[in-house]
Formats: sequence, structure tokens, C-alpha cells
Amino acid sequence: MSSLRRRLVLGGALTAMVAVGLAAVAVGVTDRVLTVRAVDQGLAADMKPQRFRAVARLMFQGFDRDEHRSHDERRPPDERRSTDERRPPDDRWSEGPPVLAWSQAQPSTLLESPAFSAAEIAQIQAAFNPDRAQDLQVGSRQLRILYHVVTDMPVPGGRWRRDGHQPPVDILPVVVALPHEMDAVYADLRQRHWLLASTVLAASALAACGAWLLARSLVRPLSSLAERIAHAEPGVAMGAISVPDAPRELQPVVTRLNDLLTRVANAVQRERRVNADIAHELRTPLAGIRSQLEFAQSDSDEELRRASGVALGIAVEMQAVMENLLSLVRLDAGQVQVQAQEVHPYALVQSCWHSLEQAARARSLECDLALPEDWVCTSDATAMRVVLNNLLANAVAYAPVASVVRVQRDAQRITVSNASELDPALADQACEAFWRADKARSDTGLHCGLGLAIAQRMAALIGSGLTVQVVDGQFCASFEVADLVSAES
Amino acid sequence: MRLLVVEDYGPLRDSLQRGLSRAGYAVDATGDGEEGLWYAEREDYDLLILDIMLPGIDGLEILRRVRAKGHNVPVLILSARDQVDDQVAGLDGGADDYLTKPFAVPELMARVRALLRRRSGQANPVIEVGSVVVDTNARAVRCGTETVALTPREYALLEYLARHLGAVISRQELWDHLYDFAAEASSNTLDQWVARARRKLRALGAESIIETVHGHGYRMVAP
Repeated sequence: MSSLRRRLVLGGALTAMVAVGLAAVAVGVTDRVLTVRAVDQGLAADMKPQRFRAVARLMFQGFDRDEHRSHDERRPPDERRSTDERRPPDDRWSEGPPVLAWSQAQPSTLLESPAFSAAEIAQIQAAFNPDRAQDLQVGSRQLRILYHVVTDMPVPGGRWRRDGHQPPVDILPVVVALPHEMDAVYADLRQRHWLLASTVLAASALAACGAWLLARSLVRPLSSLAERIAHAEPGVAMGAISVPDAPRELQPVVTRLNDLLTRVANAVQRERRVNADIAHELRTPLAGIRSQLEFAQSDSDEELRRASGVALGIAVEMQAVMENLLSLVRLDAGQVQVQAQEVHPYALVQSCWHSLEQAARARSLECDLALPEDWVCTSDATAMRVVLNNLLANAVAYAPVASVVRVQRDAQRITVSNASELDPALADQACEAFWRADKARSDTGLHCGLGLAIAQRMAALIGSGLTVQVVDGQFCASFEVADLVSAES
Repeated sequence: MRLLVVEDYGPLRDSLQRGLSRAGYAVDATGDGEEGLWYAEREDYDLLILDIMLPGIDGLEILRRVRAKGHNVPVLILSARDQVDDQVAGLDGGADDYLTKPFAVPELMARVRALLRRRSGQANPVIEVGSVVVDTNARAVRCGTETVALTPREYALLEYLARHLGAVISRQELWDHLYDFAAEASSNTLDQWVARARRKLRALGAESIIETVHGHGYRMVAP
């Protein structure tokens, strides 16, 4: 699963890049449209004078050729037109933009421009599209051509009237084509587009950086919060969470979370205090019961001695449960101190088994102690004793009658296994407080399922581990003995 | 031996009083701190058994005041508080021993005996006076291989005299250490106990080890 930061970076960068790209495309298209429109407007502006000029020239071609020149020659020399006026039309009309014009009525009538070959002129004529500029590839040149159809030729005065001639309007309508060279325009446009693309790339890179910075800034408080929560150790009360620079939107979450943590911590504290108080308050009444029963053991009444003996056994077991409960509360509250010292596991197990020997004998249990006698480790002897005592007491309580409790070493691990069957699915729950494999069992004395829970917590306290497995269908507790000195170093 | 039990939990207090009395100790018991202090300051006890959490004045305060008045009576604290800090506070406060509730009665009795031995300067639990052996652990008196059949009161008398071997013990002192606060003083009663103990010892062939010091009291001497 991708992280929130990656998603934000990718999303932000992509959005920024798409936005910048779209903006660039819009700018490019607009630039092109405006550039072409400017060309078109220039063509349209030029078309006004050029169309009359071109049509007039077409007409003059006929007039000069057929009539005008003879009339002029017939004039007295002083009335004749100046040299400039009499200059051949091709010379005079060749100035200005290259204009093509042809008569639609008389296909042979054509005003040519020296800028175009005959084939190009034919191509331009073939592409005729009235009153609309269009691009046309003519030879190697890219042209923008505006066509205009002149259907009427206003003649305000002029030589025809002066000379009493009628203009040759029979050539109308005349098509005027005004071309514009677009190669330079498009080259300029391409250059601008490249510049725009480079800008887009740079902007995208900047956008990606910006998105990353923004994402980091946005995600930092969340990351900080997640890190604090992720580093919380199970079973250890979490302190108040502080998220520096938490945004306003996150502050209620942090506040509520801290409220919740405070409530949980208070509840846990309250539960521990209640448990501790209950256990503590039970000490004195239990002492009263025990002393009453123990003193009754020396009574002369045999029946009273027997009954008080049974009751005393129950009181002693109740005391063990209470002590276990108190130990569990203290372990959970971190009130137990650890002291590293040299420990001989063999002797420790032997000592623990010795204290359970009477109960083991009652159930015909044997202990197969296969630990190396010279094995020495560095740990807390008291804590190890609690763990081993609980494991062995558990084995003595739950192993089938006349079975063998095996204590073996596997590397740094002490395994205590017995023949009692356990569903493998329940192995993980075995170390939970107040859990018992078989709640209906009553022939093994008073048990409340705290022994393994205490053993596991105590093992964790000394940096060791305790796991319960089912090996070949049999219950097997593994106590991983960690070297306290090694762990500290 | 006279003991004071200050314990506010009635059933435990009654049980201790009854059990210790049955074992031959003279026991005064109270559940109130102020009353306990009053007893401790007024009477000459051989041992105080104090609970810590008491109504009125707590056990540690009783201990502090008793020690402040110069009493060297051994003190055994009997408390539900089992933390090391609590035990350190109790022992540093002047207690001689600390036992956490719930406790095994044999352990309590052993500690009581140990503290009483320490008070009399007798480290050895077995006191030999001629052919008579006072076994303070077994709370029995033997003469040779025979055990003298003594009542707890007779045993207490012999143990007290044996602990103060050679010293003249006045009738009042014997009374104070063998009888509890509620017992009515009577010199005749004490004389009767002494006479019975002498008779039982003599029956087993023991030497006369209890002397009467006229006008003062009694003294146990080695033959």
C-alpha cells in the first residue's frame, strides 16, 4: 500500500503538470490563433486597396492594349502623359504585395504576379474559397491566401469618363487572391511553442518539487502522530501525544486521542489499583483465616483438626491466587525491579521442582530434568524462579496422572513439556490472564489461569520470552533465556 | 513471656491471642493504636506484635514513641504491606522483625521465639540447667530423656526463670511476664505454679533448681 505522502506527491505533481500542460496548450493554441488572425486581419486590410488596384489593372491591361495607348498617341505632345504615367502597367503594379487576380467571366483574363510560377498560380486558382483566408502549400512555400470576389467596379471619374470610354466591366466578377508568406510566421510560432514547452517542463519539475514539499508539510504532523502510535508498546501505558505544528484540522484529533489515552490510562490505573487494593485487603482476612485454621490444627478434637486441615489447604491456595494476582498487577504496573546475576538453571529448576514434589507425587508425576548441570546464564534469579515455578506448577496441575514432565535445553531455551493435550488453536491464548484450557477441571486444585500470564510478563521483564506451542499434540512451554548483560551491552 | 498484640482485624487478633496463649505466652491484645501505645508504655512486655495500619495511631508511630521513651522491647511488625520499601521503613523505624500477612503460624511462632531469645541474650534455643533441659523451640522441658509434663503456664515459668538463670526474679516480675493484663494478681496462684513445677521436676529425679529467695522471689540455679 502506497503511503499518503506518495499519493499526495503523485496526485499533486500530476495535477500541477496537467494544469500547467493544459494551460500551455491553451496558450499555444491561442498564440497560433491570434497570430494567424493577425495575418488574416493584415490580409483583409491589404485586400481593400489591392482588390481595386488589381481589378483596375486587369481593366487597364485591356484598355492600354486596345484603346488607351492610341488615344494618348493622338494627343498633342504637351497633353500627353508623363513618362511615369505612360510607364507599362506591369512595372507600376509590381509594387506592393504580390496580388493575383482573374476574371471569372473571361477565364483567360489574368493578373499574374512574378512571384508565382504558372503552376503555382493554377494551384492558387484551384484552391479558391471566397472571402476566407486559408493555408496553402505552394511549392516549398506555406502561404496564407485571402480570396475576394469583386462583382462591381465603382469608377469615380478616371480616364474612361474623361476619354468618353466605358470601362471593360464585362470581365467582372474578378477574383482577387492576396497571398502572405507564412514560413517565417510559422517558424516564429514554432520557436515560441518550443519555448513554451520548455517552460512547461520546468514548471512541471517545479510543480513536482512543490507538491513534494507541500505533501511533506501536510503529512509531517500525521507521520509524527502515526510514529508515536506505532511506537507504543503493547501493555505499556502511552503518554500524551504531542504533534508539533499540528494543523488546525488535526488538533481536535490529537486532543481527542489524548483525552482517550488519558481515560484509558486512568481506567488501567484504576483497574490496577482496584486489583491491588483487593489483593491487599484480602491479605489480612486471609491471615486471620490461616491463623485460625493453623491454631486449630493443635486442637484436641480430631474432626476439627481434619476439617481445619482441608480448609487450611484451600486458604493456602487462595493465598497463592491472591499473590499471583498481586504479582500480575505489579508486573503490569512496572513495579518489579530486575537485577542481573549469575543463575544456574539446573539448580533453579531442581529447587522449583522440589517445592512442588509433594503435589507431583500425589499425581504420580515425574520430572525428566535434562538441562546441563554446568549451564550458567546471567539473568534475574528471582524472576527466573517465578517463571520456572509457574511453568512447573502448571505442568504439575495439568499433566495427566502418572506422566512425565520434561525439562530440556534447546540453545538458550528451556522447554517444559508434559503429556497434557492442548488444541493448537488455543496455544496463543494460554498466556492470557484467567485463561484455562479446561474450565471444568476441578481435581487439580484451585487455579485461576494466572500462572502462565505472570510467567510470560515476568519473562518479558527480564528481556526473555515465553511461548506456548503444541508439539506432537502435547503442551510445550518454551522459555527463551536472554542474557541480561548481553542485552544491556 | 508476655506479649502485646496490636491488630485491628478482630478475627486475626483473637486468633493470635488464643494461639499464643495456648502456647504459654501471656498475651494482651488490642485493635486500637492509642490503646496499644498505652499498653506498650505502661507494661513491661517481652515482645510487641504490631500491625501498621491501625485506627488512632499507626503501628510505625507506636514504634517510634516506644523507642523514643527508651524501651528496648523487641517488636515484630505484622503487616499486609509486602513491598521492600514498607519493610525497610518498619525495620529502620526500630522494629526487630517484619512479617507479611498472610503468614504461616509456625513461621510466626519461630520468629517470636527468636526475638525472645535475643531479648534474654540467649542465642541458644536450648537452655541446660543441670540435668534439666529447657527446649524453647519445642517448648518442652526434659529431664534426661524424659519430657516433663507441664502445662503451658508451668513451662512459661520455667522458661522465664531459665532465661534469667541465677537472677532473683521477684513475684511481681514473674506475674507481669506470665500473666496478661486481665489476670487478677494473687501471690498464692504464682506460688502454686512454682510448687507444681518443682514437684514435676522432682518426680523425674531432677535436682532442685528453683530456689525461693524469701522476701524477694525465685531464682533458678544450676546445681
